[in-house]
Amino acid sequence: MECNLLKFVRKEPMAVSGTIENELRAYISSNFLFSESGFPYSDDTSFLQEGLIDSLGVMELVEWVSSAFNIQIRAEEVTAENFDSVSRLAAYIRRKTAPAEAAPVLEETARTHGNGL
Amino acid sequence: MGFNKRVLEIDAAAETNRIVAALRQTVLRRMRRYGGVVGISGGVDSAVVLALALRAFGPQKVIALMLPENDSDPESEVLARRYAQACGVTAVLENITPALEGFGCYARRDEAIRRVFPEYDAAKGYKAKIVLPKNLLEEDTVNVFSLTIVDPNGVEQTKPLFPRDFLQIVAASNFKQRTRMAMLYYHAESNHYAVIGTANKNEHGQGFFVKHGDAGVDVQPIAHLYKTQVYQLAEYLKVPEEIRNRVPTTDTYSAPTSQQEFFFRLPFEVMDLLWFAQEHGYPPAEVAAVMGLTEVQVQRAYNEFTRKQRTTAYLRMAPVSFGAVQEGTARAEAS
Repeated sequence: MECNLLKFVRKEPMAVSGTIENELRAYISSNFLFSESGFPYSDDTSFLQEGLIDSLGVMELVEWVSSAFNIQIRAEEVTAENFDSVSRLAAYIRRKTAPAEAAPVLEETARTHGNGL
Repeated sequence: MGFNKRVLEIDAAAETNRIVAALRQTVLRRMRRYGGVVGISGGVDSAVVLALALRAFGPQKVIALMLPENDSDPESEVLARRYAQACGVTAVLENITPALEGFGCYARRDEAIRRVFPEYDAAKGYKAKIVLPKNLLEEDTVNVFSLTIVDPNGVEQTKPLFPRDFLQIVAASNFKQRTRMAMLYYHAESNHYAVIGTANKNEHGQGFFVKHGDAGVDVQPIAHLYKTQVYQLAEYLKVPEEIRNRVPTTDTYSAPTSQQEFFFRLPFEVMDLLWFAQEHGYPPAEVAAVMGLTEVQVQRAYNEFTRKQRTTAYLRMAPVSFGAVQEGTARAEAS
């Protein structure tokens, strides 16, 4: 991949500790819980075991995380270890957006459903 | 009694008699229909149900309906027809492809597939299927569906699906089951018969069916039986080996897809025992020792069953009303 030919649309990860968690809680409560009382669970609550999110919800979550944090998510990364709680997902997002590991995202790829999710 | 590998063994003769009596009671006396219509696919479930219906109503009061479409395996029709003939009932063929074309089933599905794989072209021989991660017992995967296409040279490619594409592919494909349901009811109503469903416990309980599609039936005579118990009935009812030995498929997607690959993620002989164990509260440690698995693997399977039942509860839900409504009564009103 020749980076100088690509247009990067990297978005910086949230600078304030906990902000990613806040975004995740807000997204989940409004899109999956349809709750008026926010996210009334701990950040370690398993989405799947507690029935907060089903498999379609995980697909929605993957798509939103990919877009909101501008990260490429490979199919093999969609595991319970990475996606099954606010804490796990926030940690995954931080790993993916850490400068040493973050992969640049092609605007074209993100827009047209190219590689991975 | 402790858990063991024989817990699902049934008295096939007694169970057959019980189901046949219940079919007669329900269809003839309670629903006041004259007989039954069974959609036959060449698979073991519909073969067993046809045999049960024939015992209940006799060959003059049973219609065996074959409902193939463009993506159906031609072998299914051959087996279904041969089996019906052996049972002494004429199989009626209704090809539903024109109806599906009218609904735009294939066009809507292929539009979504091409958003993922632009090169996909069914007319050029491309085939497609949807699959889940395979290794249920080996790791904590999440049930996120992927799309696999097979090009005309047999080369496979797989990509994860975005929700929008996944939902459109499934919604379009579900026209197949819903069209079959409509055709089954055409034949049922024009003969004053009931539609006899073919779902087994695995399909019904874990949600491997289409709401108002293959679940759109009047009676479900084998919905309480695990798949391995259906095989026991099949042997007792002398369903031919060529049907009993077939790998259960979805027969919905153009690329061959086993039910294990598409949905269940475990061989039936393992899944049924683990599911029974979970339903009856056997501790994972005891089950693991019997099955030759680890406790973690058994717990993963338990979790999967719980998740699937919860996720698919909507499919089993009857229409919800918000006030008193007239329910079905013992003596059905004329429609």
